[in-house]
Amino acid sequence: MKLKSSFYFYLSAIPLFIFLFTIIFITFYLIINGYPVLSFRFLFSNPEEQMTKGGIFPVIFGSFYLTILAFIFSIIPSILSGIYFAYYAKNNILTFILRTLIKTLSGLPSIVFGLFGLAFFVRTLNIGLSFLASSLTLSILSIPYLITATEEGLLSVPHTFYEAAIALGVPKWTAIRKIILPEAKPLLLSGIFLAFARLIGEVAPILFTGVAFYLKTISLSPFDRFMALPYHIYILATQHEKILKVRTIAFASSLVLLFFALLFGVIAYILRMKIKKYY
Amino acid sequence: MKIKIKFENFSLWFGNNQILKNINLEIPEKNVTAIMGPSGCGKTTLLRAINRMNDLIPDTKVCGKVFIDNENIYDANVNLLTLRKKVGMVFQKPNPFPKSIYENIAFGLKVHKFKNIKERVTKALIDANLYDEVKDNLYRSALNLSGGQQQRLCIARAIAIEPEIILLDEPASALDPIATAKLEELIHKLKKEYTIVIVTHNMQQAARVSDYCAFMYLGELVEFGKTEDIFVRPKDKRTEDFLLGKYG
Repeated sequence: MKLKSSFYFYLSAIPLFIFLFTIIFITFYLIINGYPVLSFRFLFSNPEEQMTKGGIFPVIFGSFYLTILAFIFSIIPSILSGIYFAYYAKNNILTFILRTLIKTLSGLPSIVFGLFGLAFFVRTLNIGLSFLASSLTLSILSIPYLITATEEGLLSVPHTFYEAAIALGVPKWTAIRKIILPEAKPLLLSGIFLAFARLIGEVAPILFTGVAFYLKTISLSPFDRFMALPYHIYILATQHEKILKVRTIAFASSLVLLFFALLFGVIAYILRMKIKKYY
Repeated sequence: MKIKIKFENFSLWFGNNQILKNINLEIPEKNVTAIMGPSGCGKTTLLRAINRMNDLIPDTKVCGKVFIDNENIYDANVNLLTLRKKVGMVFQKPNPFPKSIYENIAFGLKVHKFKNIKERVTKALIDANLYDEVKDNLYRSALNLSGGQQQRLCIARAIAIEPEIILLDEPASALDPIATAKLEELIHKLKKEYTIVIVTHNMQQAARVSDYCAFMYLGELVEFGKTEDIFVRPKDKRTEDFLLGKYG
């Protein structure tokens, strides 16, 4: 009996430890190679001399501007759709088709979104290569995920609160807005931060829609091109003329990206822990 | 004596499952009417037919009529919000909103555009025999109250918006004997102003609190009458068996 249980312990624990070790190894490798370059100046100055010197400020700025813009486009429609699925959709063929489509969309490789963004936003709508085109493309990528997160958040609130409000003669929309949504807020925010963590590392959707190889400085206009962290790492690692010279910058940029993804992931996790137990 | 609620040949289905079978029932005003019967006999569904809460369940079909003050509440042009303002409800499990005690009551008042919210909150709490216990903690979360207090808060929340009918769905099933006694005392007090319909599978409770009593079995209304008549001289064999404890 003892032998058997320890066998299953190792069966489940060994893959976990291998996995953990890999993550820790990658993190340390990035820290060892990237940390010497990291400094306040590195984070807040422009690249110089074909990116072989200077900092990555426009890159960080671009990534954040882009992701925040993408959320501005996606949050309202996602939350409304989530409310629709949780409280309004009837159990019929239309709902089934919509759900299937959303699932399919969330499983689609992100390069497909990139191509769609190029064809639709950049060309058909003639927005051009820009923050706007890229953030719209990213927002489409995040919408299926945010809808699911909203629905999950709303359904985590006990149905008895909803029933209590309805029994008081409260209109359905008021019950959802005043009773259900405030309670679902931690889970909704958690979903939003997880999506943030994922979006900030996406490169395929912005590849054809506006990300630039090199810009001297930042621009606030949504119609301008921009630099972004994951693409910056890609070009420093594979496309740059002096690959060996910029390698440490690539490592440091990766470290910064990892830090942000981790930060948003941790915020999402903390919010998730705040979910109340009602009974 | 005036009839407040009247079921006329009322049947109800969930999908293909017939839950209520041709119910005819007249519930008198300003009395306590208990609906009793074994689990799954349709008594909660019957209660929820009075404020149309069954509408929330998909695939519900009804046939027949339910009148409140001679108005058929299953008419196409009935305003459900007005109906549910008029017919308050308290659920089996206490379900105060996860807000402060004050907000729990003020929420319904605000939605229905009452004025003098503060006084009305206080009055509702006094009427629900809860004010003395919570007056110093009005802005604390309602979830910190005990089960019995939560249930009385739910009653306060319901009576604050001035309903005429209060539906109680096994309100004491999650409470201890002392909290139950307080709740029953409150029901006794409230019947002077409201028509009360209470569902219970506890016959002693039905005998203690009700003036009229309905016995249901497998979706049918078996017997209805004054509580003392039903308990002392049940006409139907099934009612007698239930009172003798032969059904669960």
